[in-house]
Amino acid sequence: MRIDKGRISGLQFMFLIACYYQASSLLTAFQTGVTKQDTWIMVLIGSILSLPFLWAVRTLMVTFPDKNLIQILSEVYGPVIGKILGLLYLWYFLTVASLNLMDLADFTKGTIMTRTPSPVMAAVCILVASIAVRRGIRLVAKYGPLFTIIAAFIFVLSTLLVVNQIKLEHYLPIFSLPPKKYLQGAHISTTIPFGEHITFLMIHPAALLSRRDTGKYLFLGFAVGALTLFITTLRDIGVLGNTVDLFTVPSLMTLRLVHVGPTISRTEILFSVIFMILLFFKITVLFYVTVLTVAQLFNIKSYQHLILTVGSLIVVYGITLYPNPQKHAASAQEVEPVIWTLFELFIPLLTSIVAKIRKLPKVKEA
Amino acid sequence: MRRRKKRIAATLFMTFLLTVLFSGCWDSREMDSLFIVTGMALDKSPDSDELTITLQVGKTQSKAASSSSDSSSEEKNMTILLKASGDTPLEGIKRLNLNSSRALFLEHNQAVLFGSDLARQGLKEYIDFFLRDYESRMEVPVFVTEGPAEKILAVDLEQEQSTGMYLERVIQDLSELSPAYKVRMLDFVSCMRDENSAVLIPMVASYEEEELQKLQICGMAIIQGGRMIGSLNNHETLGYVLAKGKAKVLIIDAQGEKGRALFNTISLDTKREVKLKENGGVQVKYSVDAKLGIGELKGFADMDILELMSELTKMAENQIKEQITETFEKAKSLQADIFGIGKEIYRRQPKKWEKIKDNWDNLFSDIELTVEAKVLISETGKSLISLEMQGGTR
Repeated sequence: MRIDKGRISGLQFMFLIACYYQASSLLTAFQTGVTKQDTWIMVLIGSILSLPFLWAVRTLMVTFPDKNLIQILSEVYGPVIGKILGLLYLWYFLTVASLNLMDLADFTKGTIMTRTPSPVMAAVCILVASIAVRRGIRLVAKYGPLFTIIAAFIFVLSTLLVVNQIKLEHYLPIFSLPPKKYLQGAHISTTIPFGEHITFLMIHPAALLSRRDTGKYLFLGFAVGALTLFITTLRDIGVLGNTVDLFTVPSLMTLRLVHVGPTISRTEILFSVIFMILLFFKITVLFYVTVLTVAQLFNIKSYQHLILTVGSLIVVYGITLYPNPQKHAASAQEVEPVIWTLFELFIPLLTSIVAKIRKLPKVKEA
Repeated sequence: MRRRKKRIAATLFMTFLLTVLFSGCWDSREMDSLFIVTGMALDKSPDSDELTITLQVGKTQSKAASSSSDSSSEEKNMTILLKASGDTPLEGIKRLNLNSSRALFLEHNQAVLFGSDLARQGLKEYIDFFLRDYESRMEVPVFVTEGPAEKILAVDLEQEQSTGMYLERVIQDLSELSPAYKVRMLDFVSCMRDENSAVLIPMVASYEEEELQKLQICGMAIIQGGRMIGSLNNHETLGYVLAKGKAKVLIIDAQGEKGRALFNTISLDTKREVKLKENGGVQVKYSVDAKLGIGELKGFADMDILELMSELTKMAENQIKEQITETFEKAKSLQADIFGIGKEIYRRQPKKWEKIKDNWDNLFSDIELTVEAKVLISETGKSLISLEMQGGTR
C-alpha cells in the first residue's frame, strides 16, 4: 500500500535523479581539501566505484517494484530488524536533509544576506519546501526537468566563461600526494555525492517504470549528475590551481574570476542562482522522503499533518548539528564517509543478496 | 459558500500581514549609505609597528555627500581618502567603519597597493583578510608602490577620477600586451603558496611633470616568501615578458653597430625546456620564436636592402637573447625563482623535486641557461627603406 497516491513518469524519475546529483556537485570543498589538484580523478574513480552499488539499488527496485525502502527492509529482515533498520534510515535521511539545509543557509548567510541569521533562511526554505511536499511526489518531481535544464545551461555557460583562464599545468603533478589521501578521496566521493542513491529507493514505487526502464533511467540520471560533478571539479581546479583547497565554495570563486572583456565579469550570481535552485530541490526531495519514512514506519495513512513537525525537526537538528561550517567540512572528510558506507553501500548490497537467497518477493499465491 | 468566503478573508488577511511584516529587507544596503571603495593601500606606519590602511572612496555626489571624520578631500577631487591604523587590515577597516557615517563596501575595489616598506617587511600575514572576506574579490590587481602606497592613492590625476580605477585600466591595457603584467590577488596568493618560488608584482610610482601629478608602472617588484627582495626595472621586465612568451605588441629596441632599430612584435612564442642533469644541476633552455615588424630605423647608411634585412634579423635575435639572459642573471643573483622553474620541476617530476627542493636556492643560482631566438621580420611598415640609406632599392 502506498501512502502518497501520486505517480510520476519514468522520465520525471530520471530528471529527479539527475537534478539530485547535480545539487551534490555544488559543494566540492570537502573533496578538494583532501586530494587537491587530483580531485577530478577521485570523482572519476568514485563514480566508477559506485556503479556496483547503483546496480544493487537497481536490483532492489526491480525485485520490489511497488515497495519502498522501509517496506523492503521489513519484508527481507522481518518486522523487528526491519523496523530497527528503518529507524536508522530515518535518522540517515533526517541528517542528510539537515546537512543540506545548513549548506544552503550557510551559503546565503555568507554570500548574499550576511546579516540574516542562518536559522531564518533554513526555516523559510523548509516552509516553501513543505508546500511542495504537501502536494506529494507529483509536485516534487515536476520541477526536476526544468531545474535540471536550467542548471545544465548555467553549468555549460559558466564553464565557457572561464575556459580562457583554465591552465593545463594546474592539473600537474598527478598522483603526488600520499596514497592514503587517495583512498580517503575515493571513499568520500563514492559515499557523499554518489552514495545518496539510496534516497531513490523511497521514491521508485511512485514512478511508472518497466523492468528495463528502471536501470536505464537510474543510470542515465546518474550519468548526467556525475558528468556535471566531473566537469565542475575539472573546471575549478583548472582555474584556481593550487588555491583550490583554500576556499569554502570553490565554484563560487571560479565564477567570481570571470573576466571576458570589461563587461562580462562578476558572474557569481549565476552560481548563486543554481545553488539555490538545486539545493532547494534536493532538500525538498529529502524532506519528502523523510516525511514518507516517518509515515511508513508508524503506519500512518496520510502524511500531510507530519510535514511541519518533521520540517521543524530538520531545521532544529540542522542548527545543532555543527557549530560552524569548518566542523561540518571536517566531519564530511573524516566521519560521514565511514558511517554513510554502512547506509549507502553495505545495507543495500546485503539486502539485495538476502532477498536473492530468500527468494523474495514470494510468488503471489494464485 | 461560507467556507469560500472565509478562505478569501483569510487569504486577504495573510496578504496584509505578509506585506506589512515581510516587506523590509534584513540586509538592505542603500547606495547613499555606502562608501564604495575604489582603491586600498596598505603601508607601514612611520612611527609605530602598526599598519596604515588607506581607502579610496568614490564620491557618489560632488560635495554634499562627503561626510567623514578623517577624510581629506580637495575641491576638484572626486574621491575621498580614509585613513586608519591597526595591526591588521580588518582592524583598520573596523576603525574606519566606527568613525564614518557610511558602511564600507569593498566589492568594487579596483586595486590593492602595498607600500614598498611594508612589502620589504613581509606581506604574508596581511593577506588572510583578502582571502576570507566575502566582499573582497580575488581578481583585484595587486601593486607594490615606490614609496608609501597612500601617496599613490592621493595622486590627483588629470583624466581619471580615481587612481584605483586608473591603475586597473592600465593593467588591463598592459595585460593585452602580455599576460605577465596582470597579477591578481589570486595569482599572488597562489605564488605565495608555492615554496621556493617568487612572484612579480607591478610597481607603481608617482612623479610630477609640469605641476601635474602622474602615475607610471616603473617595473616589477620581486616578492619571495611574502617579502619583497628586489625589483626589476622596465628594461629587465621586458626580458621577463619575453621569457614568458605569449606577448603581443611589445617594442624591442635593438642597437647595432650601424644603427638603431625598433621592432614591433607581431607574435611571440616562447618554449621552455627544463632538464635535470645527472650530476644534479639544472639546465634551462628558452627558444623564442618571434615574428616582428620594423617600427623605426635610424642609421644603416650604405646598406643594401637584403643585407639590411639579415642584419636586422640578427640584431633582433641578439637583443632578445641578451634581454632574457640579463633578467635571468639578475634573478639568479637574487636567488629569486621568478620564472617558476622550480614549480615546473615540481609539476613534472614531483619525486625528484622533493629531493632537491631544500637546496633549490643554490641550484637556481647555478642554472645553466641557453637562449635561442628565431626571428622573422615580416612587416616593414609603409616604407621599405630608411631615408639615411643610400641607394635604396637598386
